[in-house]
Amino acid sequence: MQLRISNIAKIKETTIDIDGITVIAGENNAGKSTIGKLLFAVFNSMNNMDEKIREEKRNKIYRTVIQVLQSYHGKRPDNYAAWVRRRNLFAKNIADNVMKYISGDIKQSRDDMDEVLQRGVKTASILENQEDLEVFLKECVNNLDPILNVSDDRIMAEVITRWFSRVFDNQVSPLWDEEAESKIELTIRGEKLTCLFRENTCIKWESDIHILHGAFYIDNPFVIDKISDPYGDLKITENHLVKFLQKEEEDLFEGIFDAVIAKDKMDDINAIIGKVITGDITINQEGEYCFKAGKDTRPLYVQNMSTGLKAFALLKMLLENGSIKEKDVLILDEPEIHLHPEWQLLYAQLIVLLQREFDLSLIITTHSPYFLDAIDVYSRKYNTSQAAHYYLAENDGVFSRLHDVTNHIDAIYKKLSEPMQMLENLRYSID
Amino acid sequence: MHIIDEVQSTLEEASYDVDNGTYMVHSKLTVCPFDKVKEWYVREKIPYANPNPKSNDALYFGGRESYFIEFKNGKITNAINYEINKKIYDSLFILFDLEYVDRYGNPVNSISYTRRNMNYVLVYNEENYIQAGQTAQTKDGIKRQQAVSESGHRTALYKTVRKLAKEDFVLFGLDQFRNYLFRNVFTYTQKEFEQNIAKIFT
Repeated sequence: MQLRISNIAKIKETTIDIDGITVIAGENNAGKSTIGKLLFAVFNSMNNMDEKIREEKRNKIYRTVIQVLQSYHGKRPDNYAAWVRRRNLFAKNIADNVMKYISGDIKQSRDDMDEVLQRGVKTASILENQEDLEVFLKECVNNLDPILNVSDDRIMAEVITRWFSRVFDNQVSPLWDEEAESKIELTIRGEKLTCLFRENTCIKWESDIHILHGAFYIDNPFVIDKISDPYGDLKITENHLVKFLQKEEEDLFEGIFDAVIAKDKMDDINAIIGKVITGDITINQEGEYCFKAGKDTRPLYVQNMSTGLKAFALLKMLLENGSIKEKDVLILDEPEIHLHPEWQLLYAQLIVLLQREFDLSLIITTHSPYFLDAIDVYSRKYNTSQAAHYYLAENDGVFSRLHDVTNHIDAIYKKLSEPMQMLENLRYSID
Repeated sequence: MHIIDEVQSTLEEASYDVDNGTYMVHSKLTVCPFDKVKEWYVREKIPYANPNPKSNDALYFGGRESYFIEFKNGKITNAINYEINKKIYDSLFILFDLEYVDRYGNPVNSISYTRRNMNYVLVYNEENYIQAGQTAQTKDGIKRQQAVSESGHRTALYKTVRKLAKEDFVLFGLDQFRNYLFRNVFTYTQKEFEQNIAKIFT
């Protein structure tokens, strides 16, 4: 696939090829992570589009009904908490029924919808006064009308805006000109997907591509600490990952994992993980995730595992519970940070194999010469190097640019090794 | 004939370590043993002075690029490092005073010339590189001794990464002369030098 972007965050204009593993290197503050974040937002906002549109409509109806009801309950009811419960339940029923009505599951006229509302209000003892009830019904229908008339395209634009805003913390638009139009163009096998943004809002989108795959963003092994206790401030990328980490193994059959096992593809992958993680991750009776190294050792809470182990454990869990599926997108932001060089090599070998066996699209950022070299060497060993791309991100003060250095990776090593010469020079200049 | 073209030896002879009676390299490449040039210069050009200039071991005028080559078999201590620096400056002063003209007719008389056309190569003994240096006698000496801590593994690591960058890793603080007095500066072990000799002198 090919990604062309212009005017996104720090990046003025760039084209990136992702046919397997794409490595992005460069100094800090050069826009390396932007590409990964962007793919994460594109894939997760636009996959299962129909379901997202339905969910969005249902939520809007639910919120509208609650809003209208809120202004009609008059004075605060004696048992307010119970009233709120009844109100929410009522709103949920209305939302469900209206959704059925829209989708044609209930073949009914507008009058019938009024009836649904009326019956619901009575059953839930929300409004007792007949006059209030009639006004409520009228207003409810009036308020729901515009929602039901909004096009699916506009709803999707809103979904896309929301995902991008959360991933980029409301800074999708370029930093040098907030009013400039931002453009994202994704091409997969000749089919195109285009998104235009202005002032952090998706103003237009078009797609020939039906995105079925998900994207995982892994930038911090400590996210595993949150699976037993997922409350507190989590970034959207972390929140998304935690949900998949918590996925029960029953879901395994919906994944591709079994099929892969059948093809004996997992042997090499398991062997590498087994070199690092010599046990299983399970849930104890208190619902806490634990790592058990062997039958004679006491289980260790996952949050107490070493950070290096966590990096491998994350992938192990996503694989074993069937979260990672064939052709998914995996974004690894500086995955080597907590790993000793020896494990950097193992990690590189693992992801090169994962890419090959699952046909994944991988975006990796790195500052490590070991990791970079290991990706390069293992890609050659496993015959996937023709699908590898290497980019060097550079910041020229205002914009960031990504240079394709696939045919001269030494440009990356030059950046990585210059500090070594600087240190050597400094060593001999100290008086 | 100019003294630089007149005095000749093999690179092997220029690499002779008098203290240990060994040759550091075994190349039969013809070079100018610059020590001999220096002796001639002191004797013939400045007979009334009483200087003690130091000189690099060999000078080589190849094609477009020329080389000063220095061989250091022993441990490169702070004193030796100072001597290496002095050799560089003295050799350049002497060279510029000799009014030599290269094969393209360019006068070799300034660092503008050497910065464009000349490289510096230091060949060192890898085994002695990692040995502990001599005991420093002064407080500052001890401080410096601690600051300049050679590690063979660190150097190997840095060299490997620089090689991936298609760049050379320059030891002993000599990188300061790159793009200043010389176009490029190389610090090679004997093995690296022998391996690169064909590449260096083309």
